[in-house]
Amino acid sequence: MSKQPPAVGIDLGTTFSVVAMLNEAGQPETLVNAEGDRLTPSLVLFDNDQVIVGKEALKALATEAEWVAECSKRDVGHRVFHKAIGGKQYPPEVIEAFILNKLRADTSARIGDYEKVVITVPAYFDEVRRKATQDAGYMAGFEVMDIINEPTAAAVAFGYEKGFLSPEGRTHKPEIVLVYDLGGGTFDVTVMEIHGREFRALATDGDVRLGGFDWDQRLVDLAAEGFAREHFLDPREDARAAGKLWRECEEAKRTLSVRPKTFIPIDFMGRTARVEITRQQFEEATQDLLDRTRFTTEQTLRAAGLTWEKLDRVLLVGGATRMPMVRQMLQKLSGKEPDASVEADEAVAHGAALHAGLLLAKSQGKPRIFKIKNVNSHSLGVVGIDPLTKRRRNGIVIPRNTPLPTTARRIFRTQKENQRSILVEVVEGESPSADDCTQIGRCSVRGLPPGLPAKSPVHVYFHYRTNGRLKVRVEVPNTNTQIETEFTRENSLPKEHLDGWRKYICGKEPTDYA
Amino acid sequence: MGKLKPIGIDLGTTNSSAAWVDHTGRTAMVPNSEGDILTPSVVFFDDYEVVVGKEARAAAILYPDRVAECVKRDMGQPVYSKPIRGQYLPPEVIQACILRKLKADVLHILGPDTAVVITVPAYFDELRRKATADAGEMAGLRVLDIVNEPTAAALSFGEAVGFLTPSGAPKEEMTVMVYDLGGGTFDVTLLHLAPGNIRTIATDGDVQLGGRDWDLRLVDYVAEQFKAAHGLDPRQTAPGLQRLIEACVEAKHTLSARMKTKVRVVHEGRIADIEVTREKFEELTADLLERTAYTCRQLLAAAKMDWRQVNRILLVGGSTRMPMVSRMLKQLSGMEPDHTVNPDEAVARGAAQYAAYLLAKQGGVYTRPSFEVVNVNAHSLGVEGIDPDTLRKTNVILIPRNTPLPARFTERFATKTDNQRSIVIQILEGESSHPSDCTPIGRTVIRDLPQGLPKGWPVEVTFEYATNGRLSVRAVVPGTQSEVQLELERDRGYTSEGVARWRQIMAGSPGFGDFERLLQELLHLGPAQPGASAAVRPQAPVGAEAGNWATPIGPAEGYPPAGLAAAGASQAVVGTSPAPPVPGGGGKPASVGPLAGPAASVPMATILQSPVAPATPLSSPPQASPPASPPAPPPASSPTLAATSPSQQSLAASEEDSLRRVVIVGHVVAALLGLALGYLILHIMRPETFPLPW
Repeated sequence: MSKQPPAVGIDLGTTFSVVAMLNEAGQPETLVNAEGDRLTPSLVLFDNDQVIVGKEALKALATEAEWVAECSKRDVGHRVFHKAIGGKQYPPEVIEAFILNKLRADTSARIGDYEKVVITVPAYFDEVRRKATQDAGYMAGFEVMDIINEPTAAAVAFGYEKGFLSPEGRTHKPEIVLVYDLGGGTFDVTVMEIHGREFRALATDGDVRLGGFDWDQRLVDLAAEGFAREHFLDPREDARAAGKLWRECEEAKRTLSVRPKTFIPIDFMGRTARVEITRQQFEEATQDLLDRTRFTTEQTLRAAGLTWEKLDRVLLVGGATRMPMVRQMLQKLSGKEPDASVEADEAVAHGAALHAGLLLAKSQGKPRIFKIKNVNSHSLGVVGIDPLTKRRRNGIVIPRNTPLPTTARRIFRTQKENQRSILVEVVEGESPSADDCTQIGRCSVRGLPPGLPAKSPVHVYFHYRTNGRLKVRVEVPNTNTQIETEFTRENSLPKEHLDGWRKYICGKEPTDYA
Repeated sequence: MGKLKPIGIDLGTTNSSAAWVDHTGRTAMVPNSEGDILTPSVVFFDDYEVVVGKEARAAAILYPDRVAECVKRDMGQPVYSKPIRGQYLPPEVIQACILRKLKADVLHILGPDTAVVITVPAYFDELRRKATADAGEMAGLRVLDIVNEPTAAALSFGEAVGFLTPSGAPKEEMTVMVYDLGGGTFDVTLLHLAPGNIRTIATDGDVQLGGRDWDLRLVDYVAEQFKAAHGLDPRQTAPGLQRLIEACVEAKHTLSARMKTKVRVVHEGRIADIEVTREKFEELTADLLERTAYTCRQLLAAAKMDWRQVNRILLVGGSTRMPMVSRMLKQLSGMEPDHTVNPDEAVARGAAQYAAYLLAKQGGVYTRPSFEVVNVNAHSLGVEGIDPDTLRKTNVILIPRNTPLPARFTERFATKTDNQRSIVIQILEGESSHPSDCTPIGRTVIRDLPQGLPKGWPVEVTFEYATNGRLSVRAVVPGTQSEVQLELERDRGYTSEGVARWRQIMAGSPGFGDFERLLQELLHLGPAQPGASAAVRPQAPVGAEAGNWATPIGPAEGYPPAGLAAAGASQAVVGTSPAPPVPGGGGKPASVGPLAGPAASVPMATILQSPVAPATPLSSPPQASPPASPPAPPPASSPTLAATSPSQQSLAASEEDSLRRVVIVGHVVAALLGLALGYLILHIMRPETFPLPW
């Protein structure tokens, strides 16, 4: 088939990943992996000289946990993955690259070779983690056209379903949408404005360590306790049985979303039981988790300066939003029936594919059909010393939820007389205390002219681009001193390493990717 | 009827799924209420509920005697091979439970106005097809048609590469081989694809070969290893076997990705982790794979083609994920098998396309069909005749296998004796020239031939085979008024009343209790069947006990005989019931005799047949069976069609019925008395364990 490679979008998730493409009618369609599943568990098993990704790696987690890398997305941005595998320390983006490579290989078998993709990241992902994700794509043999935010992608998919992207969509009245995204391992809330074909994020927040996973854990406990009451044995004590129980509970969780009760079969040490769990029991056992999401949701809404009445819609994304308790809670809060019209697990990938289609069309000189506007999810600032307390303070230059691209300036002052150099430490975070924020880079201005008085002004400019990359300029007025630097993160892999991994992971030759 | 949504259902051995065609003409899968695309074809008979799908599968270890799996393999048999809580259930009833669940899930998403196409393996014979259609009826589905799985897969492939829209299609034509290795069946089909046209060239397969066999090899291997280590065989207890099968299925999946895995066996408090390498697994199953390779080669030979003429090999069915399959096909054909279609979804999607096509042809939903589908028959169809030279019975094939459908063939036969008064036409399905190696799928009788016809008088038999794989037969004796026509009258299978009855039950939300109650009801009604005459009364139980397993439902429920006869006349489907025509005729042996008109003569034929059918696996009273069988074919059918050489076929004959009929009735009465006695004894002694009469 000599067809043009299709537009492909990838939702690279914490617990599972999804690939979608645009078919010839321009509709997004989820692609299945080699096992026939739409969702590929985001785990990597290092099995002697084989690297296995997906369902089998998930199974192996129960028995060979030391060879399995799980939840690597949580470590992206760090130098190495949190545990050594077979004595080797892998950078998290390399593990992500293995996952992406499997997705590429499986889908290529179905739709032919392709390289250009859009990958999604959580809205709260910072610069460093976005770049690492892009690197992972490169190492997996892709050309990453863009990185977009997951809630934005979900909203785009939603807009497509609702016809906002069609020519008539232009006349649609603007809508304020709250995207509630409860995935396997992470939780995200974003308030967006969809105006015609423009998608603008107003505020975003999230919880990196909260997801369907935690609900599963509670169900496992319920089931294991039920079994223990009957047989005085705890299946959680045996790794293999615990792994199996986990999978049963994951299934049971989904069943409980459609039925008032279910039975979890447990087969342990030759004893069997069918533990009955009602939806009510399950909801009681997980109430606190749900409350955490409610808290974050309300906070985000406040940050956007809105109230529930101002919202036009609550959009549900992520498999865990199938749980009726989530819908009930949001219904109660917002007074509206939450919108589940997008495929909870697949909407993000669909939106990414639509965005990829847009970019491909643009590269072919066709007009764009929709626009995306992002905000930055974390405040960016510079570390300064409080003149009174002498403490290190976070001087915020770009507050969170500022629409991108943006340029901002903040004036600092030199600390002492005759200061010959200035250290600019860039941090990300909301806390006024610099030590509670993430340091994302530093640069220094040297060679200041002698005799500069104390408290001379220093202008720091941040230029934050749509793709989440940051440029910093430091000017000291009345001198000729000025530096400008694009931040490359400290933990980033050098180009040679990326090329080496690329060759190893997908067998492709290096490109001029930078 | 204007707004029906076209649905395709892949009713598989291990998994089933549904797809539909949306308003843009593209297919989409319909997720079930658990949110999955695939629904395990497993049925759990709980007391007050029949549970289908993954929950049923989860119950298999705990309640092995209440869970039915792999029922598709038993389609066409009177009952499912494993008793469910001591009761033998017909496979189509169990399949209907699965279909009912799919129907409910489809209803939830798409609403009630749907029309379905159900798929069957290309190699399914007439009997299994009918059983599948019946299951659909029982589930309350509006079944448009039954379509072959490879055809559906090819349609799905056609959709993926644009063959279904003549405009968007590639210009070139191609020959595609569909290699479909599912959970329980194997099919291989050659198709010719051109823009807007899909034609089946040839098909072959094995209805008893599938992923399940691979599982069982692994089960045996692991069990032997365990036995060697611990001296115990986990296969010997039902939960042990079930647990082992589950572990082995899992291991099989793992071995498609990894080079080795461990199977944990827990049995009688002992635990062993048995290592299996991919190499070992492939060695254990090499002969199974070779069987599929052999069938592929045979298919090409039948189509008079070689591998170079095949442009694509499509893989369908979950079992094709085993790396050994791709490797073998690559070795055979020199090309990499194609992965364009999703092996789990292709069949359902294609079936949905086919449903849309049929609806469009009827002027239903969408625009006119943009493509054509041509099927072939998988098995030769013929008539039992007698070779005039050898005087041996022989299968005279009217429609050879792989004939494009619809097809119509006429063959001339000749009467066997002078003054032959009736002719039996026994329809056979199969390739062998020996009738005993073929499946008898139905028969009809021409009666009341005028006296004095000389031997060798011509008889014309016409077979008409519709696209959906259903056969109608017409026999004419030139120069006389005698003519019979029927849509295939099956020896086994459900009456339409039986189907309707089950449909009624399924429409509620029955549990096993309801099934059981229905069965009890039938048991009690059976012997007490009121009859108009002595000759009639015993007949119902014959049907009930030893004969046709489907029959009791109709009469037992007190369906008015007239209605039945009418049904037989208008539809002439499956109406096997022996009782109805008799009361209609007056209830004396005479009524059994020369009934004028095809309508009556059709069920007539089955009277002769019904005692034959003790194909029933029922362990009905042993003393009853001997009397039951004699009236069977030997006396009645030896004077069957005698076939001469193909050109001047010889003839079939039945003969002076009256005398023989008396004999038969005598047998029948004897048989019935025996049966009734045996039945009573059994029923009194252990009513709860008495196997059901159907």
